[in-house]
Amino acid sequence: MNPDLIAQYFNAECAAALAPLVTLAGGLLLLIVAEWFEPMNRLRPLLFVGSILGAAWAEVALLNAPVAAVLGGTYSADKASALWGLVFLASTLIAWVHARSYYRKSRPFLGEHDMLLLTAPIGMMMMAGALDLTVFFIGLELLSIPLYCLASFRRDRSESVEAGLKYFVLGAFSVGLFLYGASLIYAATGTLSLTALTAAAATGFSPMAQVGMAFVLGSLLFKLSVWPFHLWVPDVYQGAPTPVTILMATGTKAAALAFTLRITGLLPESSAGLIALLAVLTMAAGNLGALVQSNLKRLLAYSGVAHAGTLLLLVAAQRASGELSYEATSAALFYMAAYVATAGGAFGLLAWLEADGEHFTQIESLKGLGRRRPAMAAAMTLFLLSLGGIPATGGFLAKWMVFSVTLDAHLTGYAIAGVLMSVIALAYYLRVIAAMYMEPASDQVAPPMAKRTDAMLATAFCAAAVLVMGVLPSVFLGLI
Amino acid sequence: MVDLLFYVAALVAVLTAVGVVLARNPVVSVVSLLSCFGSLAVIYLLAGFQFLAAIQILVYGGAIMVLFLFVVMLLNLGGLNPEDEDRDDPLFHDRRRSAGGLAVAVALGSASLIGILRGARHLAEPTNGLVPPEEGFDALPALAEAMFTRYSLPFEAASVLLLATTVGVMVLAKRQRSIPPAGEERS
Amino acid sequence: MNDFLIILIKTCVIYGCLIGAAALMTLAERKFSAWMQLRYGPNRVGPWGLLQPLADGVKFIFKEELCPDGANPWIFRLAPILSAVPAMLTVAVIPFAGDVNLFGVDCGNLSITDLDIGVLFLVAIGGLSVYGVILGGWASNSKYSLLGGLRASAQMISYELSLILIILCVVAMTGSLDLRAITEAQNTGNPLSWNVFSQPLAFVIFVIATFAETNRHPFDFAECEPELVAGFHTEYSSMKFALFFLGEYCAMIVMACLTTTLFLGGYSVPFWEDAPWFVELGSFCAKAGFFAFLFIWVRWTLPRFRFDQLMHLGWKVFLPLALANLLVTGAVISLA
Repeated sequence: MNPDLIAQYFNAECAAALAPLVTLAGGLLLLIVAEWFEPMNRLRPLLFVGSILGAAWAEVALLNAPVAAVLGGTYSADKASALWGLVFLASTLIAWVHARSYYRKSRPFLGEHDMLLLTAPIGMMMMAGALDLTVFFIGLELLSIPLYCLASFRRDRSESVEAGLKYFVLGAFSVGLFLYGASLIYAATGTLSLTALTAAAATGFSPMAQVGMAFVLGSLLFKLSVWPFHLWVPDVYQGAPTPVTILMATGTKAAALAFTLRITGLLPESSAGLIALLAVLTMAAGNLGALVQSNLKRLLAYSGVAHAGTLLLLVAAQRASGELSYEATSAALFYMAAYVATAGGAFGLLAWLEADGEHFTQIESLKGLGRRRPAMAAAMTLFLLSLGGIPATGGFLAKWMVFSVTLDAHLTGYAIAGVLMSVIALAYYLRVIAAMYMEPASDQVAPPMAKRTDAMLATAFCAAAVLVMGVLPSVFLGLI
Repeated sequence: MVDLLFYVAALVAVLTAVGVVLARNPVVSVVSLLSCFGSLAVIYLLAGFQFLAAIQILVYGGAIMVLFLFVVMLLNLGGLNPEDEDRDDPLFHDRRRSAGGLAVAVALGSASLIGILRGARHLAEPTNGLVPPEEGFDALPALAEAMFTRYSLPFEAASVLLLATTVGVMVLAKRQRSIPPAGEERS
Repeated sequence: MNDFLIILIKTCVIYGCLIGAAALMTLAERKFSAWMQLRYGPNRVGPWGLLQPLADGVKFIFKEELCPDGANPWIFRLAPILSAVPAMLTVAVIPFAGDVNLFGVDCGNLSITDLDIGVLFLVAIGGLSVYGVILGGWASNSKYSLLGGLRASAQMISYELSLILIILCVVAMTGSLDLRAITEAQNTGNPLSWNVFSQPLAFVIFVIATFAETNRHPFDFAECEPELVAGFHTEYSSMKFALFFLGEYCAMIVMACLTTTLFLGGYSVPFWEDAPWFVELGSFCAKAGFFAFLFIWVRWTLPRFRFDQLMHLGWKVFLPLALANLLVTGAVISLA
């Protein structure tokens, strides 16, 4: 190939921008090599954590020296996407730590489990940094396909297989929507580059491109689990192994949100109200659904839908305020960072419980947990309060930022509706807390709670993060 | 001549696409889909995209549909007797559900059709200073250059994707050794 | 109009020769097998039995057409067509000789068409012939046929991978997908510039993979008489059966031509760079004829594999070797 061409595309900036992706992909290859011989299997945790930390280090390096657009303007490693990358990596690491104690040691395919888990953040980073619909599409697949497999990883449980299949069929449908939309956009405008598309959208999209955009947005809303595309969430979140649910609930949502915020410029101006309406409806669907659940995992799944609604308010605000502001993105980043710590912690505790028996995820069986397992109950309480948005937790500040951005964008009615919905949400979070502390223990066997240092450490880390974000938010806000 | 061929290919593509959905026998569905892909390849050829047409036949016709057929036959879906084929098929018996699905399909289809038809008028004039790709943009040198420079990230990432998919398929398809059910054994 | 006429004549001549060659090959198959087994083979119809294929054709036409009970009639009829047509289509891109000058009329190159993507066209269309086998096996409503069809699909998919990877090596060396360009790159007058000498491993894998791709012995598991009666065409009779046969022999001839083109310099003549077209054609026919003979030779010499051995060979031996070959080829090209 022409050396000039190579020099033009593959320069130092490109290497810096792609370093996190390359680190993770290299880790994936090394994990495969580690499966060759028995003694090398022991290197697996080292390799996994090593590549996650290596990628995190590369992302931190990008924080100080962000790269705008590389590879002919198809991928960007700006500050926001570097921060998104850190969110994804944290989510993956939390999921992995909980997976370690969730599956028994004797279980086969644990190496494959780690490989698939390590692939997902590559896809998420590509989604967050994509400046081209092709890059986004490959990123989406790179995220989705490992998750389809991971969701049905416990093949001995029919719920797990069902969850994987449901996720796969609906995911394939949403990817089909995306591709159809992208092809219409391409047919109408002749480009897939977001930069060129934003310029074209500024002068008005043709109807064909608008229809395409609607399809693309639909598929993103599916990944974000927004009403009316949220129906798969409770079943899949509940059926999938809980560590995988952590990744699905936090990482996938963050990646889809990052890209949705990036393409708000392509949406027609009038769509802000519609998106905000969708956001409120999503919150309503999630909260009302969660009110009647008796299973904590399913309850948290519905609460995840409600949180997606809150996040969608940011998209609406971004669109309504016209120019691309960094405010909505920073609010989204803080919200997702808090959500990763909170939901990661809550689902992590559930994984801990579920590993000892499926029925321990029933709210019924949590009765009296406050006396039996005070530390665990306290951590769960903290996470639930943070999910509900109680002050002095990360969740409160995150919600506050979202609503203030929404108010700034003059979507006052929707912001008020969102606050009201958060109040409803408190009802079911408090119900769980009440069950843990105020009700006498049921006559069922208490959760045996094998001592698991790594899961404990992960929970402690999540709890600390939630508290620090609530009490000393400047630590995180300084980064953003 | 070219116009006529296009209309024939387009008509076949639409009819066979409908056939894929309506056929009761999965093998007939697969054959319909195959013909649909074939007529798409003809349309690509008429538009001047030789490479795309060949890839369409090679990948979809030669590889993917063979695997479809392989799986359909291996599972022996639908059986060979047309009489008892659809007795337990909820899709055709639950009227409400199929009506709902049809309504959604019609709504989506007509919405996109209206958009496309309205957009097609704009296509002739260069909208927004952007033009449709030139004929022969899929000539191999140009394609290869784009793939290894501008689109090198998705290109390389696709190989990671294939690797992960291989791993995932192995996890899902391989017969597992005796697994102690995770969690249940103590409760 | 003149151009159109020339193309029409070329098409008719090439297809006539292809079908004639396929017919002759059925005779050759029987003659050679007889020779190897110390028998006479067909020798009643015409001198040395030369008219035997014609007699067979007449016999096929007059046989009764059968469609098994419970079979899907449309797919049952479609399958033989799908088996024969792709195999015959692929011959369109094979370059048989250089520029033909007949009685002072310049007829262009001796091939129906020279596509820029000739190799891709050939592999893509050739890959479709598997449908004839699978669908025929399925539509027959017979367990033997179904098993034959299943085996054929698994086998052709597996070996198509290695086949394409090997073709990629040759394509990378030439820098073109055009079969004529690939031939011309080897046509230097020096036989050492034929790809078989620079890509010996690829050549061996390719030839073996073509056996699997055409469902020929020792990989003829789609038929496999001892296990499956006659495999996918057990239930076929009359001209439908003949079409399957025609498809099989056409595919063999095309594969022989492709091997010649990719690895043995196509129509290039050793030590004679600018040979006239009829010498080139003779050179091409001699080389392709050898590979066609190889198909027969192997069939009557080697025992049949087991199906798992075939899969093992395809996935665990050929695919890694082909990949490694492609890697080394790429490395050498980029370093040179």
